[in-house]
Amino acid sequence: MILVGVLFSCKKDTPKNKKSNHSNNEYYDDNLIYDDNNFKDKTKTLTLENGKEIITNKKTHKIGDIYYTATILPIEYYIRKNLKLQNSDSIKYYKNKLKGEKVVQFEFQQKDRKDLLSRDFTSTDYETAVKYMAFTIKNDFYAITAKGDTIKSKGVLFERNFKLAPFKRILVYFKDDEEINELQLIYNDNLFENGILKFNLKTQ
Amino acid sequence: MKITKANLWNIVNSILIICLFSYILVTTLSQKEDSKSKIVYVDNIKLFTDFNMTKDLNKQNEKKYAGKIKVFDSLVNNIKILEQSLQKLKTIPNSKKMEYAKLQKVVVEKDRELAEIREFVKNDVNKKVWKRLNNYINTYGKKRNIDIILGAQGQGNIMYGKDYADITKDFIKFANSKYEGN
Repeated sequence: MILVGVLFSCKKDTPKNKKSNHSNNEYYDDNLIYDDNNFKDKTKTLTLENGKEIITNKKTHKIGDIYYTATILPIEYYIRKNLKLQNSDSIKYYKNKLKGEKVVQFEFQQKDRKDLLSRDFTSTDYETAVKYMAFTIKNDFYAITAKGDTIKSKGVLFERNFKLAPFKRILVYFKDDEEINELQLIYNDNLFENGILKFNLKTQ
Repeated sequence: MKITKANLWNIVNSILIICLFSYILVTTLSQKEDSKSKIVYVDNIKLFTDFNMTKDLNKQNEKKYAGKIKVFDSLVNNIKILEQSLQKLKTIPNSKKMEYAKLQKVVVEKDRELAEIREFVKNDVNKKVWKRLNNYINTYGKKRNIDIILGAQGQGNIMYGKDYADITKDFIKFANSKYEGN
């Protein structure tokens, strides 16, 4: 009995355990990087409500204390999750409308889950950093398609979470004449001044 | 010759002893080789120049400052033309002297400005590239279970190293693959 008790008390506090332990005001996300042990590239299978499975890969770079993560959001997933549409006609309409469009989810996270937009990490004040994330960052993204064509970002959407989540998330939009299932995302980091970052992304 | 039972056992024993010694020899040698490979070195200069990020950042900066360099080059060209035309004159009028002095002042100013930019760019590229390389060196060392990675800078801190300890080529391949998003 004592041995069983000792074994239970020694149970490792993995991210999965953290999920059940987290308090109500603590943000939990399956994609969150807790430490260097769960910082790795992942292949994710996204299951939609209709049972359809979409495979996409998540690529992470760690530069200094900052994790940069990029994932292609499959367009049907984006329509259902981000545009909150479930009706099949609306989905069909938007799928047609967004043909050739690619949405990349891009996240910044500090190793100790600190607010990355504070002066400790950037050379600007908080407001300018927010403006950069919301507007100027668009010019620092471009992508190279499997064919070797360079496409510039069409726009970005900064998902403000008002410090509730320990990461900063933006959606980066690209448009090409053809359907893009594979691309190399290039980000020239002008906020944390870490230079050029490249991510080879795929979706099926 | 008739093989007796005792002889047969002797042969078997000899074979077994030879096998045992061979095994001990091979294990010891491989361990020795393994322990040797725990301390390795990289040629820092080669690493820096062959790293794709250095090339990309240099290209990016060349593009960024191409306009300023063009302006400076045309100013230098103008001053040369003016010098040549003044050399042909027997007496140089004051207005031409003034024009030359003014142009010379601008050229000196622009030259200083460009030197400052070059210094800034050099430091900026160095900082960014080494920050990235240090990250990759950590990952590489952990993955390959290396004890120490030394940096040879061509300044005498590593005077000699056997070829097997030089991981420059392999590490450049690793770092470029990581940088390219793999």
